[in-house]
Amino acid sequence: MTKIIEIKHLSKTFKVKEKEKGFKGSLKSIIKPKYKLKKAVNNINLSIDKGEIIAFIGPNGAGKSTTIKMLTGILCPSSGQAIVSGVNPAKQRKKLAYKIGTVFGQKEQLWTQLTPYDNFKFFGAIYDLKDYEIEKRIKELNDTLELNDFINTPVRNLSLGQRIRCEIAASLIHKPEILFLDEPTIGLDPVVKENIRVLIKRMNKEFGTTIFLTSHDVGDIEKLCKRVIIINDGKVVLDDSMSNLKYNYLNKKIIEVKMKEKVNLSDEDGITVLKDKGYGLKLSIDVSKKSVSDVIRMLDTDKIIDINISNEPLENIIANIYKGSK
Amino acid sequence: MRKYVEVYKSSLMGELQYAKGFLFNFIGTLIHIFIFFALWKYLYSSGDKSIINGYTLVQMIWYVTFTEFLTGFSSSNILRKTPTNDIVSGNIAYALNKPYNYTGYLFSRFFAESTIKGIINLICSIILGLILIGPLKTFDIRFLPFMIVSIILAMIVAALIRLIISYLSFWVEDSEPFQWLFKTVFLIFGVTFPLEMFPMYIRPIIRYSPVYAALSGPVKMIINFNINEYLGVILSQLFYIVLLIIILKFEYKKGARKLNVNGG
Repeated sequence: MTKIIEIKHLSKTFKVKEKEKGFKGSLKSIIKPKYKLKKAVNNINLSIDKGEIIAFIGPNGAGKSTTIKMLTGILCPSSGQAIVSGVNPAKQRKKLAYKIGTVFGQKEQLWTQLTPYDNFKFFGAIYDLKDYEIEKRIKELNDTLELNDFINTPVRNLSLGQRIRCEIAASLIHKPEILFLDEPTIGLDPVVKENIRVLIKRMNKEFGTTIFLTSHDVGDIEKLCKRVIIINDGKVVLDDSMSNLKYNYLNKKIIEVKMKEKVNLSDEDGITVLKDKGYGLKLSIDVSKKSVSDVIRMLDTDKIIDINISNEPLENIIANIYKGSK
Repeated sequence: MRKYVEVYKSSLMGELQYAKGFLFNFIGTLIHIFIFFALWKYLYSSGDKSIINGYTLVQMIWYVTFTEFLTGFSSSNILRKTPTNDIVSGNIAYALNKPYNYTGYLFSRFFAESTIKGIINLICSIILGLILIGPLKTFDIRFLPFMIVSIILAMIVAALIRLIISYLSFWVEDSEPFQWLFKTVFLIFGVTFPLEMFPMYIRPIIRYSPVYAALSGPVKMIINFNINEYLGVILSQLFYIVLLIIILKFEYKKGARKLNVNGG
């Protein structure tokens, strides 16, 4: 596989102004400002293959955005280097711009008073495409991202889901090799979210675009990505395949039962009572210490009206990894 | 260059939808002009003078009308609020990874807005001037192309100053007080009074200042065209354009580097 992103010992340190409390502190900070150094990204090493869809996740302030900004040429690293599609983003920002696309879910790049079609024409020209190339590309994107119904409606009159589709299309107009998606499904309803995920997958398959996804939405990560990179406190704390992540961290099961009568069950080794209300119980079982069948036996099967056994949500797994890496 | 033409075209399409807005904005200009009209009319009638420092009442009212027309361009939000907001919010970072020059992008948008605004304001200003005071007899249509060149250069000078002030947001939280200062200086030394109204010792300072290149100079050529003076105005405009571009480029480079090092 060809490596499309290679990151070696990448670090970024910011100079942050510090101010003592109160009015006196404010005055002092004007006369004699004090600064402290904050390491936002700390010696990251990564490589990503062409055509991969990776999730790059972490809690707020973990260093995700700083890393993306360094990979897209917005920020210069303090040390180390990144090579993105054969280009050093810190030195060849303009050259890199032709090779990457960016969609920031919370930042609009489309011109709202224009139609998607006019926007695509505009972005095509920005990326030096010839008119016939732009038309051809619009047709391709129209087919893949199903934009036909609203391609001639001003962007300001589109729904959020339609807008995001157009944002993605606009960022793909110049056939970028890598697409950086930052929270692409934020604020969308479940149906639209699912549509967007399908389209992202299709785009990856049809155009071979490498997808670098940042999202707090576990659904995005679970349904789109085969590889997960977790960053916390500026360091990579996990870099594994989605299947390994689930296999290694899914040692917990959630059991929800409705009983005929009240059962008194308390926390013990391997069992944590998450909820105990009326005749209902919600338990978290550590299967490395206690088997599910043991727990069911403890509950007395004759008295069970209804039972539901599920894996621990990926959201909890990720949250535990965040906590564990602190 | 093609991409900036495309920015211009796209902006023009967008701005067309706000054409009515520009028409309403002209109401503010109309009030200004009307106040100056009342003021100058009183000054001319009270002193029983037909000419004050070389200007007739008709020329004075047309002077104010055209200086107001010119200031309308540089008050554009594209030069003031857009860059300031982009810098303060950090959005400018997202423009840095697009294959165009941010300043060029802003200028293309500014020219698109000015095209629509200019046409509407020019028509309104001429109608207003004709209603208030009647035709300007000293206006010589043969020199119109020269006047247009000077007006465009004046727009560029004022726009460059506005942008230089806006880019101060890389270092200060709010550049609006500096914009206010710019507006006030232009209002006092350019819009309200022509150069000839000032005491002799101040005149050379104003004559060689950007206010003259961006405002009073080109308007004076509309009121009373003089080829020698015209060449002087054009020279000073070109000088300021070169100087301001150098300052703007240096400032933007420094600001963008600060952003590259310390983030948005």
